[in-house]
Amino acid sequence: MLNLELVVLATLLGGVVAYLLSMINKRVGSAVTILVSGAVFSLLAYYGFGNSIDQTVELIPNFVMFKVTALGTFFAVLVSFVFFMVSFFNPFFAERYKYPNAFNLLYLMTLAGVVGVFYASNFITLFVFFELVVWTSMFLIPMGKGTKASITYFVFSTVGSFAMLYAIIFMAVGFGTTDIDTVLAGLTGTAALIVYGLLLVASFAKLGAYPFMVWLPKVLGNAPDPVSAVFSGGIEKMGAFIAVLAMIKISPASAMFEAVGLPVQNYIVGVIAAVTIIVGTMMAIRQDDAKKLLAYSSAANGGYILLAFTIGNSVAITGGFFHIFAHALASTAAFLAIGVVTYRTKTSKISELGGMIHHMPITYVVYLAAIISMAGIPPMGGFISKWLIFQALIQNNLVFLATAAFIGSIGSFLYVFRPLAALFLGQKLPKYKDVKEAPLLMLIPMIILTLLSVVAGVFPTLFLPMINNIMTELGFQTLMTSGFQIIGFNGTLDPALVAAVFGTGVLVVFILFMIFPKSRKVGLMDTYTGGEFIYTEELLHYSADFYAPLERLYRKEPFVNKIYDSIRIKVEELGAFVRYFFFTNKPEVTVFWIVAILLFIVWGDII
Amino acid sequence: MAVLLIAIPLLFAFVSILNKKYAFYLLALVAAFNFVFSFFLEKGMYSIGGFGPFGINLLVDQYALIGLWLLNGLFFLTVMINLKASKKLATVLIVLLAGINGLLLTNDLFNLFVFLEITGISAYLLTTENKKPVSSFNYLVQGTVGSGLYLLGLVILYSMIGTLNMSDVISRIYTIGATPTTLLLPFMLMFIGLGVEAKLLPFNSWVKGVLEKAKPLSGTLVSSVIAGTILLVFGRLLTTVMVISNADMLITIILIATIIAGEVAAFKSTRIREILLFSSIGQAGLVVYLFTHGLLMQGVLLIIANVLSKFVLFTIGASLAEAAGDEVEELRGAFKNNKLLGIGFTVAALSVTGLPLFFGFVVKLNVLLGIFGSYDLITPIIILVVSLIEGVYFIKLLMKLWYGESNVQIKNVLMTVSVLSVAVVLIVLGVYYQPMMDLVAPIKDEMIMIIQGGSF
Amino acid sequence: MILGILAGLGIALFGFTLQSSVAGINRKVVARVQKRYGPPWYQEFLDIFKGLSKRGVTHGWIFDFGVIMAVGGIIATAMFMPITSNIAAFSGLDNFFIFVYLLAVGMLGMAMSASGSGNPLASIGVMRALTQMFAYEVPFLVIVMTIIKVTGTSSLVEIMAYQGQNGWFMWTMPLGFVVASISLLGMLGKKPFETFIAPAELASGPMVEYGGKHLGLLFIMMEISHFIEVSLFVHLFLGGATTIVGYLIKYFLVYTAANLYSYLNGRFKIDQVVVFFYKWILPLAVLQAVWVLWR
Repeated sequence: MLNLELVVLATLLGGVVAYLLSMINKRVGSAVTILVSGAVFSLLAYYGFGNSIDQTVELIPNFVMFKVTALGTFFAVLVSFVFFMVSFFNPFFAERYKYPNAFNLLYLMTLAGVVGVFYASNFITLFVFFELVVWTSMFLIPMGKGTKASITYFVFSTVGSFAMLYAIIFMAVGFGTTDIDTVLAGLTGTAALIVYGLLLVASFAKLGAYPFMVWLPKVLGNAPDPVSAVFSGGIEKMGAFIAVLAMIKISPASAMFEAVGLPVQNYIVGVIAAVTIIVGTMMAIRQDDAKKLLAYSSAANGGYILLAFTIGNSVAITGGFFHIFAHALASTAAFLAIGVVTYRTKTSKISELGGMIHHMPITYVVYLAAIISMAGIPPMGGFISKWLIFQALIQNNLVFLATAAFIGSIGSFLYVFRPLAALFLGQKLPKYKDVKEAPLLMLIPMIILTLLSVVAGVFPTLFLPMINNIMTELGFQTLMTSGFQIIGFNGTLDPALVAAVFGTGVLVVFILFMIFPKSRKVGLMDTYTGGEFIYTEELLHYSADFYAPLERLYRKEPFVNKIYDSIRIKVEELGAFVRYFFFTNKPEVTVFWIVAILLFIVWGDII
Repeated sequence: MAVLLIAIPLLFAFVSILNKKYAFYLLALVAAFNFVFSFFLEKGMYSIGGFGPFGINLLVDQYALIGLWLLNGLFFLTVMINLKASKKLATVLIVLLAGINGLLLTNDLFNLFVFLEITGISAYLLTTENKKPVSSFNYLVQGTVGSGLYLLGLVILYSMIGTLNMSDVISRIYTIGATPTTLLLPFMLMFIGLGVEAKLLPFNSWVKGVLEKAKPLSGTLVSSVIAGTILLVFGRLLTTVMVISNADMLITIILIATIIAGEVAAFKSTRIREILLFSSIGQAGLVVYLFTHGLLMQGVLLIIANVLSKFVLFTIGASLAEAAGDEVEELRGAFKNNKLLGIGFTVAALSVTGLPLFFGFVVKLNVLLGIFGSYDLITPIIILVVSLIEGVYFIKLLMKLWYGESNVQIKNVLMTVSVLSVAVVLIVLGVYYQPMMDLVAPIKDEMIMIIQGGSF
Repeated sequence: MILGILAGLGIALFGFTLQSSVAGINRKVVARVQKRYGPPWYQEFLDIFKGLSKRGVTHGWIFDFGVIMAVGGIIATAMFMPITSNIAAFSGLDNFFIFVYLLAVGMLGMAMSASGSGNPLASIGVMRALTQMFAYEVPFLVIVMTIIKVTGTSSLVEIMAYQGQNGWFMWTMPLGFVVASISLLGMLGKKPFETFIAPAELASGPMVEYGGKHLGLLFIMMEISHFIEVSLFVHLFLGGATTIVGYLIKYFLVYTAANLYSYLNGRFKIDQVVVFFYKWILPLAVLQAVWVLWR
């Protein structure tokens, strides 16, 4: 039996140990983070899937209560796995931080908070750990570059958290308890709609759905690379967790949108998700910084997850969970690959890079596999979840939402290809002549993530029991499978067969390729240039403004940023007004107000 | 016995005038004595001079005890941290100590006025160390107007109900059968009078002048210790004495305006001391709001949290400002070389913002539960929105202070130690808050007993 | 399963042969329209085998690997394609979405290899190809979604059977038919959507660096992908076929019609392509879907 409370406390303690050891030697401190997060992951996975986690709480005071559920275990194992994989990068990036000791401490504190969120039994516990993650991760961000990003993160996160807090206290006062299952099951009528809306606001803020999308690119673009990976693969999944609580556990009864068979509020959430997908995709297509591009991609995938949960039948929800799983793996791998590039070249701007594949081929393969999964192409995990979601969309006649999903899907080909072509392929730029492959310790997690993605895509039925447990717990039918095949509403999918056929095709072509005459190897600069003589690599490298014709069509669209700036300015103006009127150097002003109020009281009716 | 807390400081204040050389040691001695002695008090009502129901009573209940322990302790720490400044103002400080204890202990309205004036005058004198005579003068004028109004209200009240004993007021009102309308004028005058000192809008234009260039000693004392005292006194009056239900809407408007104004003004500020002082204003408004709506326990908790946090924040903030300049832009990266102070400051700031693992979060949760409990759905929204604004400017401040290239270095061991201990207290209370809850639990019952029975 | 794979390979081979022959015949047809004689019908085969037998150049391992992945992916896709309701390698498992995504694998492979050659013209060509795909694919998917919902299955063989009973979708979903035809032109890369090759501008776009066996293999890839696209169109809108003769006739008619039409047009710019599809074609597709599904 594994005591959950011990896990959380040990992680926090591990953070303190890492802090102290970092003061002696930075690498040792980072090594502690690897060990602790690895321990957390293995223990949770081993005992969690064996259904033997003990949820009693003794040491922490009694407002913290845990409950072990399949839902919580799924999320906790996945996110702790992401933390574990990313922690391998910590020793290498340690020198670049301003406060490396604090980094290790905060890294583990964030992990502890995240595990606490997923296993919370009442809403107060959930909120405590939720906010804990907010501020510990907030301090991790500025260790990259710039400090404005963390403020943006705080604002949007807090908007979400406070919406949730309002809902929690609303429920606490109404029900007298904050136990999650009791409260969510007991909501009815308008109260249910209010709580549903508020929890969804919290979920949108964490996932980066429209219109809260603004913080994702700023944060993930400016944070250090391990932090970006952890955000995309781990912390955003908290938003998905809240979405599950809101959408699946509460079922506000309301008008149904007959044509598509969904309640109206679900459809509205679906529309928001669809807009997220489209905006995220379009913004990703025009990004020059690889990390910002992946950030918008995370937002768009968050939209897919929301869309899946909105539809609400067993195929869709299984698709949603599978997408959480596949996206976490793929996104983490992609961020880690870009992290390697940043580690070796100190930049992640696509227009400044090129030809990296020749220096770091393994990283390239990892990145390729990750983007294949994110674009939803077989034989990787992303294809399975997209297939399931499309099944559900079609089944429910969701024409507009499906259009958005398709746009996102095809658009994802575009934006994942941009770093591939411009950053990894193309000409080898001379200033990166001496760039080498990533160190072994960085390669290990990337390769593990890639292999898992492939297995998830070829043999998804291996991972389905994990999700089926959740489905049963939530009261839904599980996905029908038959051997290695998955049966959806309007078709059957055999991923192993697809992979086998693909392999056969490649094999046949490979044999043909070998039969025919061997080619002569020439250098990269030796290309068809129509009679011109070019000797500088930059001139033959196409990387800036990669999708220029497409981008030109919507170059001026700000999408949503202007609103937030104007809100901030309005608040500042209010502050200036207050200072001018009330905080002057003249005591006459005070006396004036006193007299005015007294007159108001003395004279006539007092309200 | 409780009277010793007041008498000894007053006595030693006179002695210190005569004996300027040892003034500081007397100060330290008296402050230490008060702090230690306050733990040995027994609860009860103490009559001074035995003049029966007409005389001055001192009331020692849980509420007063909490105030005494907390504020005496912080007074002692503040004085010890700022040795140089304390030496110059030793006499004033001793008088201030007497005033504070008097305010917390007294059970008589006129006595309250006396100690209000004593505290006020010491505060005005303290602020002269900032070398900004105009602001001190403003403070003086407004403070005097305020206490004058209080006195006026007091006089009217006495002429109506014939007693000045705080625990008897309510029963006298019932006996006489005075209606809330007639009582409105005196009580509102007293409310406004105290409101000036308690930093409520629109009576608080003195705050900016006094605190924006405050040195560590006067700034911390005014914003943490004196503010805490005034708020506690205000709280006691609002709960056991005042009947102002007719002016509910007006008061709510004043208080909500205070809260919002404080926070947005802080949002606009770019100077560290200004940010802190506007934050105090906002929090003061929230505290008074809690008291006027009967949320006694939450009010006391918020006062405790605020007093502790502001102690840390102002001590460090004022020291930084004195060392390197007030504009936050000039202070960028100040914590690079002052990591321990930075940690303390960060903990206090996060506590004020209400983030978990810190005491401020526990307090905020209780506050919201309390407000919601009275089925008020709009006020929590306002409080959450201003919390967000507050969080934003504190985080902005923190980020700028940690990340930059400043070379400020502050070397004051006692400051570091005390700041860190308070920070640790904030963390511990954030997790093991049960002892604190037990501490404030008896307050409400005791207050009710006092009102009903005149003693307990 | 081995039997299925062998059958699939046979289908791929058949498709390649079919398309190359039809393309060759089409060259003769177009030539006659343009009052020339035109090359012999087996010209495509000659070109491909010439390419395969020459020595070319290579720019590195990704250049080769991309080509292999591209052609392999396309052959894999072709293996799933049913010819008639009886001749199909993996009946019941030939999900429509597999086609869409495996085609994408093929395109991705070619894109990787083209960018890996180091020639910026190739990268530009790939960029335009992807943008064009972004334009034509979405309306097509919307229409196919409608078809799938109406027939209740996404397997091509079963869609064929449904049309046999309920009439071809060409008549029952006319708007969809129009949308799909225009998308087909985009997929085939025929004018007015020839943007990604843009022979006069980009020195034939992605294919600029290929020679020898690479070029030959890529021509094979193009032929097979045309085969897949036209077959999809035939199966989805013209009811497929129950006999091989019917299939051949329909196939030939569709391809020839598309080819002849394309010779009447100039070429769109790439942003005009995107605007055209999103302004006119996508709303038509959505309208069709709403009309069919929401009534």
